[in-house]
Amino acid sequence: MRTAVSTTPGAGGPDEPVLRLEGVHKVYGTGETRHVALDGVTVDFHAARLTALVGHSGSGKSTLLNISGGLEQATSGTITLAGHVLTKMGPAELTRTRASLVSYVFQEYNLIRTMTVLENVCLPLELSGMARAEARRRAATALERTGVPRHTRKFPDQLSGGEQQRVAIARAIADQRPLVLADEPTGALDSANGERVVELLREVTAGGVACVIATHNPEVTAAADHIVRIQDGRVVEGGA
Amino acid sequence: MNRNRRLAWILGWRLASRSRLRTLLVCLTIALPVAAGTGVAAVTATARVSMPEAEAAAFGSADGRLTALSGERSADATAPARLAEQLKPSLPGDTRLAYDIDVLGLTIRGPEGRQSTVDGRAVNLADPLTDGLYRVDQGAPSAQDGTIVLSAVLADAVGITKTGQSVSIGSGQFTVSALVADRFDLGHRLFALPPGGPKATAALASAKDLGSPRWFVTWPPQADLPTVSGKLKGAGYAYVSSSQAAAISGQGDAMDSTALLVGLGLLAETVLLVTAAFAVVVRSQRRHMGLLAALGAPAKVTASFLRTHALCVAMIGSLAGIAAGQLVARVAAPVLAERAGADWGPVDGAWATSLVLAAVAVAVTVLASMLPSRAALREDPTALLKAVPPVHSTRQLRLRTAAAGTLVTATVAGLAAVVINAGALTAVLGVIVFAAGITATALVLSSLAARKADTSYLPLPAVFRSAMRSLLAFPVRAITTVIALGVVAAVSTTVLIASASVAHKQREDYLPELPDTSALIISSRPLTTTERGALRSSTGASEVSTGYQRAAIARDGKQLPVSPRTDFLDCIDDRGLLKYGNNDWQPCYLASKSHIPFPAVGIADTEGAEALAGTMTDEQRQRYESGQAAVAVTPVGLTNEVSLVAMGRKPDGFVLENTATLPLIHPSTARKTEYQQLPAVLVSQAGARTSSIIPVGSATYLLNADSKPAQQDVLRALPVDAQADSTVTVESGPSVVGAVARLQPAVAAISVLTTMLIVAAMVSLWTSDLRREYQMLGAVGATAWWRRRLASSMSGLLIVISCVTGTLWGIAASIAFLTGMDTDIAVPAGWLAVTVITAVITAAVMGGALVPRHARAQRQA
Ligand SMILES: Nc1ncnc2c1ncn2[C@@H]1O[C@H](COP(=O)(O)OP(=O)(O)OP(=O)(O)O)[C@@H](O)[C@H]1O
Ligand SMILES: [Mg+2]
Repeated sequence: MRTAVSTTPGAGGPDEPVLRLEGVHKVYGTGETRHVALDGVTVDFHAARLTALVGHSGSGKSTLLNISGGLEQATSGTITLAGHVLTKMGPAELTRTRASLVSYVFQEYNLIRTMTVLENVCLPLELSGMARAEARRRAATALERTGVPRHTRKFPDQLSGGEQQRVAIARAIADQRPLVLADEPTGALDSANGERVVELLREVTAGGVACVIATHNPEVTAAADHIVRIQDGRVVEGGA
Repeated sequence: MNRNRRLAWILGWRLASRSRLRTLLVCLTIALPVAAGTGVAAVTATARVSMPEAEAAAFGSADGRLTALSGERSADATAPARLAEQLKPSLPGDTRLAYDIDVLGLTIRGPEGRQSTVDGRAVNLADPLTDGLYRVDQGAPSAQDGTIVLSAVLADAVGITKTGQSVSIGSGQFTVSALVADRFDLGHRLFALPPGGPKATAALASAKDLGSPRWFVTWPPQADLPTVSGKLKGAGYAYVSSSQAAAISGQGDAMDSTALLVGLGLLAETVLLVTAAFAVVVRSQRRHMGLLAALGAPAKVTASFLRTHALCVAMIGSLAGIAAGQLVARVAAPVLAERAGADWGPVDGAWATSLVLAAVAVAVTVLASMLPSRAALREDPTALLKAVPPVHSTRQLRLRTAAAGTLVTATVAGLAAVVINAGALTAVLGVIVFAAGITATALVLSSLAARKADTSYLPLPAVFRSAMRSLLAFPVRAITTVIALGVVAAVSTTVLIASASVAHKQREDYLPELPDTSALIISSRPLTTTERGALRSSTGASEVSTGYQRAAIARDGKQLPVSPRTDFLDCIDDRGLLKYGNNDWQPCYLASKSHIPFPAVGIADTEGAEALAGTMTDEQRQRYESGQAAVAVTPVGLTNEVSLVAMGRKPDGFVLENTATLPLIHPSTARKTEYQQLPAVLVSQAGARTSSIIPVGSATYLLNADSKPAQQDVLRALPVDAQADSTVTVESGPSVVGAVARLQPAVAAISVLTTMLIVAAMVSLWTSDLRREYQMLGAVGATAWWRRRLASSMSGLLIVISCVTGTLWGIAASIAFLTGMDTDIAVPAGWLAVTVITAVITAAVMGGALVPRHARAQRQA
């Protein structure tokens, strides 16, 4: 059941961005509780480029990532991901698109507790239709690359926070989806582990993937190819 | 497709196997009702007198019974061949007959001289038509003259240990060919002699009395029954078909409706518990659901993973439930049967019911898991990733909860009302009461609590106020739990009240044969005043009456027994004839309001009358002695005047002959209950003379004691020469009442235990759901002791609210149901209190015990 969605990065041409947001608004609530989280965001994210998304707490970073990956719907505006217009899709189609194009890394609780490390890494591969044996092989390779090969049969509870985060990155790179969205991936880690994670994400990016990291961590920002600063839902630096 | 299913199985099964405590608890909430249902179904099925069993006990394997309408002792009664000859012309050819006659008061002497005077029958148990009348325990009944079949208890009483030994009746010797048992009354002393032979005929001649001749009959295939029946009636015979057995098996109905009520209650419990449990399970899986969505898993994988989990848990739970229920039934049924004094036969597993129960439990569980998972799947993945359920507009959710609760309870209550056949009005009432009640009370209580929780003057210790606030922090969860536990409380209340009431009703319906502190002595010879005095002092009795005898009238050299005319005469057909022979008066007796057996008039002197009927005034005594009035022993069905009637024989059946009408004295200290063994009306010797009544049969003495006298003690206290042929009867209740009454504590204990376990499971789920909050409280400095007290108070509070609500509505519902069933209500207050107290203690202890000791923050959600 390979999805109908094309997985060629930057389907529109070599210089086309993998992800393009144009005039995206996101409004939460109505009336008194109405809150504009994104206010006309226009920004591009390119392949093989590590973008740091920075801004104060509550500025809208997570919202931007969630909308970019189709976890949430934008209120208005257009989002184009590898040639597909997400803003025209329904939830089922968004899920299918995610399965072939987007990998997420969250701050913590990234893994499914009831699955082993190996099963966790295999999961997106199998979801995008890969045969089991091939998925296991690729997962093992990815775990090796992220430095947690000894733990394949363990359950997430039995790993340290840093190890869990590396497993999450292994999962993100195993499937080679063109867009990796990471929401404060180093937020719960000490600086050594944080560096390790950034290093890994850099490697991933070097493989031709567009990587977006929402972060407060200056070290991550320093390692980025490009910085997008966001304030009160507006892009104030690095926008298109 | 297969890939998705495999993922669903891995996720579903792992969820069950990785969080073992929770799985255990959820399994328990499924297994308990299934186990209870299976156990109840199996025990009920085992105890139930099925139609085939009832038919076999009364009719063997025959189509029915033929009875000679002649009530008197027939000269030919011991000559079955001659009687059958007279019957032949009225029967189609090829009719098969097996002769049977009741033999009353035959003395059987064992090898060591131990003897017993008992009732039995002359019937050839080797005839295939009689198959199934008794359970054969040893040997095989023989058709040979000179053989006898004994019930095991009788054999024991006369010192027979195995077949092949001999007993004597009069001067005849009889070889015991088989030992049998009356399945419905294992204590029944009885014998069966194959009739017709010279030895049997000689033995029957020594019996005190014989019943009407009767035959088991099986018709040839083409017999035209209405015609044959009419012809037989003309010739003086009544035909009763084996479908009459329905009356006997009807006894099981009360038990069945209790079982049904229990079953429906359990179903309601399962629905609510499982719904509540899966709300917790799904809530715990929110983060996983969000992750799966972020990774691109289609919603149907997530939905089917939760469904699969439910399926796994439900299968384990219901299989465990069936196993436990069957085990309990297998252990309990023989014990209960023994206590009931009946042979229930091999344990009937009621497998069909068990499997249906299990299937229903599985279906209910899967449905219960789908509702919350669907609701969660409608949310955005980002909301799911936040793990904590969003606070919706509370009102909308409350209303939804209320509506769902009302719907479920209404359906169940409605079903129950329909199935137990309650009157339409009470059924509607029951539905409204049960359904709206609990939900509404929970809503009102919660909104009250919400308003009061923050007022500082609320007269509660601080920890209770905190507990209340914590409860109200999750109002929907609190209300669902209160409703679920309220229904549990309501159901156990209903079960307790229903089983107590049914036991009570059966006790009421049962007519004891004798007052339970009395013994009836039918003496082989009249006792002198000194002998009666000796009897009284050696048994410690308060009173031994003077002897009385049965009343009869003499007609054509025969003695016809005399009865008061009461509504048993319902059984008279339009030609003025009795519908049954006197062997078959039970249907008639059971249908009458007064329940006075036939015959029921005795002749006693004043002293005897006062011992039986109660103290009379001087004026009453004078009227009784002079024969101007009769005295009522019991008031039921009798007015101030009584007609004495005798059953006379007409060529085509029995008729009632009026002999005399007398004013009736009701002593103010009269008995309130009718007793089968006591006469209903007494007349004095003078009264008997003026009404041309004669005394017949042996002198009978009533011994009144302070407590239940032992049969053996009374028999031994009789003069030695009178011991042999006298009989002593003491009250012994029929087995079915004993069974239900003795089962009551067991039902109550099971109900309490189930409630306790369910409460424990619910509280554990609730507490495990709040683990993170408790750890957080620890992290901000709350001591473990304080956290435990908080958890205990919270669960205690929940249970108190649930129990109060549930118990009250349970009482209301029981009243509605029982009124519909036309049954008096017995409220077992002690058991109700035990249930509530157990539930509250369990909740408080479990709540406190499960609070995590450590304050360490958890790494994974
Ligand atoms: N589901 C929601 N409903 C209403 N408001 C929301 C919701 N999610 C986010 N917001 C609001 O939108 C704004 C942006 O939130 P967002 O999570 O994107 O911030 P952020 O930049 O990621 O902050 P942080 O650095 O603290 O993670 C915040 O003010 C937040 O209160
Ligand atoms: Mg954020």
